Amino acid sequence: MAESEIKLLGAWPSPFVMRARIALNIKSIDYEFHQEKLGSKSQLLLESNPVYKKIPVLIHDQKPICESLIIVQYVDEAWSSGPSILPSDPYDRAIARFWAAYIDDKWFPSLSGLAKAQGEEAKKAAMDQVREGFLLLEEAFGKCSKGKDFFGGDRIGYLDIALGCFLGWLRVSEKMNGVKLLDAAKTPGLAGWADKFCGDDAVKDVMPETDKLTEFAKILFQAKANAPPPAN
Amino acid sequence: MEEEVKLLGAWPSPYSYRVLWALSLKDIKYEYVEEDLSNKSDLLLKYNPVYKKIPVLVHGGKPISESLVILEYMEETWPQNPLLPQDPYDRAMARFWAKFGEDKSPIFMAIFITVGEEQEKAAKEAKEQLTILEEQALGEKRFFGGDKIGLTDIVLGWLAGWLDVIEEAAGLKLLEAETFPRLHAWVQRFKEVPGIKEQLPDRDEMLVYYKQKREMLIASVTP
Repeated sequence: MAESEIKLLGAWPSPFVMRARIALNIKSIDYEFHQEKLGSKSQLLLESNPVYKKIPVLIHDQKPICESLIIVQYVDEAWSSGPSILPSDPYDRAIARFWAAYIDDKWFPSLSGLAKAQGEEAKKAAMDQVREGFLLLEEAFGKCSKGKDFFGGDRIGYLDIALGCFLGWLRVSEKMNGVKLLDAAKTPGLAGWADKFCGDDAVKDVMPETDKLTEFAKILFQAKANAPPPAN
Repeated sequence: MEEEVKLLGAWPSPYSYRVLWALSLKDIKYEYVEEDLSNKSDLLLKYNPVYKKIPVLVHGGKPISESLVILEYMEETWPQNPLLPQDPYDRAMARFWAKFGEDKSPIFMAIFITVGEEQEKAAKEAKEQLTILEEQALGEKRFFGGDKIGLTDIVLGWLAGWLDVIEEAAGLKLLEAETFPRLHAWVQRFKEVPGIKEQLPDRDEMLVYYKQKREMLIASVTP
């Protein structure tokens, strides 16, 4: 097969970009990583994702694919000879897709809600939401992993990627708020899974270090605090 | 051996209809259970403890929730009359536009739940999304899925069967034929597709339903 051109537009702190990178790593795909600068969007990004103007964007033989979970599914289907990312059984696939959607629709908003929360009461409410989500996900982990290391079984898969990409930011939240959100006492399965996920070959080079991410978070929040209010 | 298929749905939910359409298009036998959402059944609560919402598809006793997840499951389990193309890139595009439709639906709901200036603002935003659908998602194709309907058409099907009723109940027009000729043509085409046309909610009944809801909403927001 002729060498195909694969580019990924992204940024190192983005958990959504990490999803795409992990998928590409699982399939051992070589790609060119284009780092977008904070606060500005490249011409290539604006052209490749005119609808959302967001990263990640995977460009495969000049055809752009947008939205992180859609990219992950695309990578799984376009490189079908590599290790599978989604489970093989249709019902298991449905369960994986259900929980990935829950993570994006409910759980991640509760985590970013915590970052935006003002005042002790709001922060506590946000933390409770994150922890409640973890209780649900602990149950899901039990059912999906069937006693193995990952949601995907012996190897990381779709749902591992969908949740695991947020572990860096989770740790930043825990550090900045001085709390434990992923508690080994309450959610032992997930706590064990988190360490194994971060140590996985497909993950460890693309998971940002907590210190570096914390510094970035400070810059990001400072920039937002300094920014003029959005025009109406 | 064929396993039993059950659908927990509720009239006139467009999410419910997405699954009804897929069942119809794939010619799958099923049992339909109409849920009273003001009094949810134990079955629904058992099958969808996370969201407690319809639709829920139950296949051989195993429940699947969330309409997009259900549609992908159906596509893999009953591959006849496929809703997704074979090519991975085309599949990614179909999923992208289906997700776009989902992500933007609150903007359309906003025109129904707001009044006055807020409603005008929502209408302007909604028309921007329609423009994107008209020009980028649909373009010159007969259907979002190409020559035949597919996943994206099903997910956007509410634009064909529900939008005009919601517009009438909310008192404004969004999808005008002159402004959105391609979408307008698609709406007519979609409603004629065998499998869809027999499964569209009754317009008069829907109008009564949405008008009632609109009246209740206005009463609650008007000082």
